[in-house]
Amino acid sequence: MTEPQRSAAAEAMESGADPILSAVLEEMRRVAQDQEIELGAEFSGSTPSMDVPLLESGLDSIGFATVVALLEERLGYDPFLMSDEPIYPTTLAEFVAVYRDAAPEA
Amino acid sequence: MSAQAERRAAAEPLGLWRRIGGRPADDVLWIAASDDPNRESVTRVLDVQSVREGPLARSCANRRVALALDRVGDTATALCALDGIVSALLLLPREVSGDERLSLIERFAADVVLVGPQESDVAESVGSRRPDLAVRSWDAQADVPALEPSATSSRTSPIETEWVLATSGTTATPRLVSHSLGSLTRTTRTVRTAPQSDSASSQGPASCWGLLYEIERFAGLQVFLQALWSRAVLLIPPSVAPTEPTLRFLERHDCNSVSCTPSWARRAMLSAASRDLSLRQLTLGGEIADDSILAALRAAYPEARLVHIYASTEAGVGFTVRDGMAGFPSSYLESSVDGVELDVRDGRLWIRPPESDQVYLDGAPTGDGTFPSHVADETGWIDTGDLVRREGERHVFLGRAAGAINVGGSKVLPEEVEATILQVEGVEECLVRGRRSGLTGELVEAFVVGSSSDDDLLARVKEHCRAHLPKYKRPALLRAVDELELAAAGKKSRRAAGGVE
Repeated sequence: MTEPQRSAAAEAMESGADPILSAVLEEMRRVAQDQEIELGAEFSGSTPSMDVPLLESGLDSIGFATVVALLEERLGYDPFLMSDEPIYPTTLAEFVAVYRDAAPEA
Repeated sequence: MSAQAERRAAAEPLGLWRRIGGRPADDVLWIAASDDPNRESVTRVLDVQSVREGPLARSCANRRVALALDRVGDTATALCALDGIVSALLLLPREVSGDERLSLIERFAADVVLVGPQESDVAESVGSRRPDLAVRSWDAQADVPALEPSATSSRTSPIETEWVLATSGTTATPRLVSHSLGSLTRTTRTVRTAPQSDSASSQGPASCWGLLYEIERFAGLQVFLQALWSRAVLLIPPSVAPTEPTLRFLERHDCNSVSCTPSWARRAMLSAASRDLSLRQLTLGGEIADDSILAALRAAYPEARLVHIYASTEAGVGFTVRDGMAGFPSSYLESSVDGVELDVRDGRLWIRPPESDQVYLDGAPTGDGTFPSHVADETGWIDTGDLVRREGERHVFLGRAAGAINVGGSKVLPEEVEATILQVEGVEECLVRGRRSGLTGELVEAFVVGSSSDDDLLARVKEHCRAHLPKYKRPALLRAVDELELAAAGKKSRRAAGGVE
């Protein structure tokens, strides 16, 4: 819990900056750790780069599918299953936007 | 009598009442548990005989009869009393919804529905939606209104009753499969265990079977018929689940023979009560019996004859593996086993039983132009849908072809992942299933029941899977749970393991 990236995500959440972004980053880090993958530098730092291609994170399609499943348990919805059309976000910004757009009204 | 002659005798039609009617009237057929341990019910030959000769049985003569009896002992009595009298018997599964039951009753084309005291909802739904069907209360044996005489009335000579079962529907809507008593009892035979002179297990009844499957299911019916055929006492526990009360009931009545799924056995062995059972016969079926469960059971019950049986509602009993090892000897493919021929086509096991009179009852069995479809193809072969692989001199089971999880186009058999996880020390039970994914089609999801702390256990499971499975087969989601739900047939339920659908 004292890792710098974890606290950055926590800070972001506490400040209300972007709870979805911090959830996405946390689950990406968890999956990377499980799969013994080193996340790309742009994704592991305290200020992630929003425009770097997702593929450079090091996670493959199973990895992202796992992130999406974990996010469903955490956020309660899965935009990729909710959508009638396939969605292919290519950057972190697009990935987060998919979740933001599909978020149920509070 | 040779095994073959025994099988021929067992396959003789019209046999159920003949089998038990010749026994002394006070012979105990089965003992059923009750909520109140002092009120266990004991059913003797004469109890069945009085039903067989009573007005209810007479009123059902030559009719198609659906059984919706909540007490297992009543179903057992009905089967013994009505076989040879009614034209067909439908064993309605217990756990299906009211609508599904009505649909099964209609597809079976029932004339009469026999209901137990707790089945008033069945009586009501049939009464309101199919008022043309006769609904009879099982408990009002003496008070049966006369039915109009059926076309082929009079019960001078016994007829061959059709036995109709529902498939368990773990992967699809249940289908109705019609059997003859002959096909149901093809491999049923008298179990003769050599008495062990210096062992306590030679005391008590020759054989005493615990009923650990629902009697309405193919596997439960096999146990019931086996007990009748071998003049054993059948023990009907408070529930078919591997719980402490069930195991204590079996132990109290000196149960020495059981037939169950590997999942059931795995669960039961966690209970202290299972250690007090003295088993002489242990039959596994319904799921893959792998080396780990076979070894654990051999250690727990060194005196028991440990076999696993290959059977399905559709195909009937295929064959039995008696050497206590996983899979079956590859030599079975060259020479038939228990009269059944085996073949492997594209990795799938096909079997050809000596007689195959099982038919699916889809649509009306007669009348509207649809004919029942045979389970076997025109050459008598049945595709079991089970995947097998040769390993040395044996063929081992890999899993159900239809149950494969599709991860981004790669097939994963949940059975293989489960077997891998079960190798981890501290894992007591495990269930693997597919979870829908918008990105890869499906993902592998695993639920683990274990003895040690969750985090530690899950870490070891992950480590073990990393070492033994390619990435796409490893559980993407892994969770520790307190227990797994066992489906009606005693198998693990891949559809209902909790978690998010």
